[in-house]
Amino acid sequence: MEKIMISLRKMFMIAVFVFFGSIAFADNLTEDFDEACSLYKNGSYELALEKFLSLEKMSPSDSIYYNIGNAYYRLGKVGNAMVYYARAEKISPYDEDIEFNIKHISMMIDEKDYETSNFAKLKIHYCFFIFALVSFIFSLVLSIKIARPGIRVFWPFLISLMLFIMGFWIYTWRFVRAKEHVAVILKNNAEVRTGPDESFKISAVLPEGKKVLVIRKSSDWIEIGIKSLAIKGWLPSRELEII
Amino acid sequence: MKKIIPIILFLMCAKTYAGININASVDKNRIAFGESVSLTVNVSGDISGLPKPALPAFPDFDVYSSGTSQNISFVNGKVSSSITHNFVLSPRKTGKFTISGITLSVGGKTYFTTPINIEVIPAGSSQSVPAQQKQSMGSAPETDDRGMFITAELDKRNVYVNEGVTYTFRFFSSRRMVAAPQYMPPNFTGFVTEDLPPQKNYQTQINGKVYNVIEIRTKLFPVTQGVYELGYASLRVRVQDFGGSPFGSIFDDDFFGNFFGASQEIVLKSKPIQVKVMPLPESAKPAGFSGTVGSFNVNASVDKNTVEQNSPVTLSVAVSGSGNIKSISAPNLPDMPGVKKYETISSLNIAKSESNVSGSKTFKTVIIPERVGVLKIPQVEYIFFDPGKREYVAKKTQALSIKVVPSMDVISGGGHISGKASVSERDIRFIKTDIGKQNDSRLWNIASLLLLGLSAALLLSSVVYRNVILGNIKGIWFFGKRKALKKFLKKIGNLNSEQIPLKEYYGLIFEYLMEYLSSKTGCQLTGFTLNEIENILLEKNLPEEYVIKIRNFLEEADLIRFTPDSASHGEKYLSSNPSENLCALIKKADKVWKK
Repeated sequence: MEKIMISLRKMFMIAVFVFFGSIAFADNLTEDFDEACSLYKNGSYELALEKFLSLEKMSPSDSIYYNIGNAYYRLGKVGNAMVYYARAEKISPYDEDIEFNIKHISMMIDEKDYETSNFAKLKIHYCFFIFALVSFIFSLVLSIKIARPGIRVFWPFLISLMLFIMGFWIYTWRFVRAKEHVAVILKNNAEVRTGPDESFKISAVLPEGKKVLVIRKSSDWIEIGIKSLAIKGWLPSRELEII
Repeated sequence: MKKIIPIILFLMCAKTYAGININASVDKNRIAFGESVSLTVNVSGDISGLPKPALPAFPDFDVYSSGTSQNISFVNGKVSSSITHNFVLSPRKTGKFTISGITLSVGGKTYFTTPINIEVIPAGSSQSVPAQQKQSMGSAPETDDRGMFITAELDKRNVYVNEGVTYTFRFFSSRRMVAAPQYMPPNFTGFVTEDLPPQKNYQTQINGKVYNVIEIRTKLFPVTQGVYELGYASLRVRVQDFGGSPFGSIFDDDFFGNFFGASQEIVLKSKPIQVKVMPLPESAKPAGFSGTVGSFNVNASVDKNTVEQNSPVTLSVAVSGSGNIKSISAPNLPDMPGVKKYETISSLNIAKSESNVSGSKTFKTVIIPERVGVLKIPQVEYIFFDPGKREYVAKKTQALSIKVVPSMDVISGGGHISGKASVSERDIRFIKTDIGKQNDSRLWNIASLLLLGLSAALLLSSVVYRNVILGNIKGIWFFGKRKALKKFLKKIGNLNSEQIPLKEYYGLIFEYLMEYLSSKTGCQLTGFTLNEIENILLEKNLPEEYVIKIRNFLEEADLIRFTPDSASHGEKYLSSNPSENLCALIKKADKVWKK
């Protein structure tokens, strides 16, 4: 009994330590965040960026990504700004400000491929949850049928089966899309070559901030593609960043 | 024409350098500052195609070329030509200067002019020679014996910062000009300037002489306090020059004037003017004063009196009057709770009269009422300094009210608001001031996995409920039927008829068989009649011959177990090795059942 009490006391102490530790961490984070915001407001974009980047390492959030994007934009680094807006959009796909800034940069570089439909922006874990939910509904109806064979559940069964198939399709479609890696061009007039070396011919020139699909990697080169422009080629990996 | 061409060719080819002569002269050696001196450089020789003389740098003068004239003559078959280059020198400072170093290089030989001394005395000095052009600062212009002069004046010499002062430049001329005069305004550094067009042209009589007057006005607004000197304004004029013509007035017409090109360039300069710019009085300077100077009225208006909630309204505040319209600062709009304000955009409307700059500056602010009801826009106060009254004046707009009705549209996520008010947005949105949310995918994934686990548990529990709770062993049968034969044969094999009483022996065989059949059919057959068991076996697709044989065995076993004289019958039956027969039968039946 005494041993149990000692163990309980230890667990309580650890819980208290973790609780207050997390509160202190959160306070420091908020202070640093406010300081970074003040620097940005005063036009010290480089210092603000530095601060936001350090916050990103500690506790990345949609606002931090968004603010980093803004700071990069103010410093004239449109490509980096686009990378961070895209990261912010991954967390908050329906945030109006993030969408506006992405559209703003897209218009600057005459980009027309940005996603606009809400369905296309659906997060993969939301799709997984939808699939799990319809699976649960389907299994509930099925369980009723198994446990009580006498009860008629034809329509509920049919509807839940359809929902289950639909949920499965949505999740599969999103899962396949999530496997596609998207990268952003960091250098203006980036030269896309036909092979992974400077000796290959230039097949296209892309603007900074353009989103491309990553096909494969080869040492310091990455093969990219743009479906809408039917472009496929190689870029040095330093000239783009995968989101 | 045929005769002229060889002559011209001959002239061009002539390259004898004997008898080259260069000399320079000025029209006067002593001038007042602000006047100009004509420099004439004459080059002559018995060759054609005389080169242009090289002028040295004149650090103390502004130099303008006023044209060249050439003379070619043939005397006894010899060519002689002379070129006269005319320059106008305008002094940059007073003092004594020497003009030397005008050179001419012909055939590798360099010719020099003799030095010329020029003395520039301060303007207005009593020692000044009778000037051929003079300047005037006052309202009463002085006449000039060249028949032209300029004046420059200010309407005020003491002004406040940002108070308007009119600079008037006048050009008086009684002579015919060959070309339009070129006006060079003075240096207005420290002032914001506004031209006051149109240029006025009129005639006036001075000392009985009629002058054509050109008047140019400029409004000046001093930017900072201090004493400023407006430099000289200058005017370059080209006039006809027939003063020495021996042919009299018959050549004083345009035809001959243009033909011979006999014109003279004159540069006229005004005197510099000083103006004192005073600071605005610090005493009684109101808190909201933002530097506007002039005489103004202020008026406010909105583009709609009724507006839907969360829809934009444009609030316009117009500041109109006279003064430096461009420098009118934006009014401070009062705080309006429940109203979203966007950036203020201003527009200018400037009207210029003969000596005044007036107009209005309108400040438009898009506001979005967020609350339903009556939105009251308080009076907007605008403070400026009136130099006429020498005091600060505060003027207020009228208060406005807007009726805000509920929105007819469904507003979601602020999209409606930005859709209407983001017309002029060409920049990214501002940073987020809340720390935001982290990636919540882990929580969603955990929730999803829990739901899937729950679904599986639900299905499993329903199956268990049906099979166990309701006594249906279908599930168990499904798993057990494959092992039923093996189990049956093992149990039968362990039976020894010699060690176990006969009835008990048959009871066990009966029990093992029923277990086997129950496992194979998925029904608990214990307690069923033989007819029922027969029907179930037939339903489960066991061929009839096997069903009959099994039924016969079961009947036989029942007979031995429950009849009193079963011992002899049993022993007789036992001698036929029933367990082996049964095993063979069941093996065959099992094979058929599998199919």
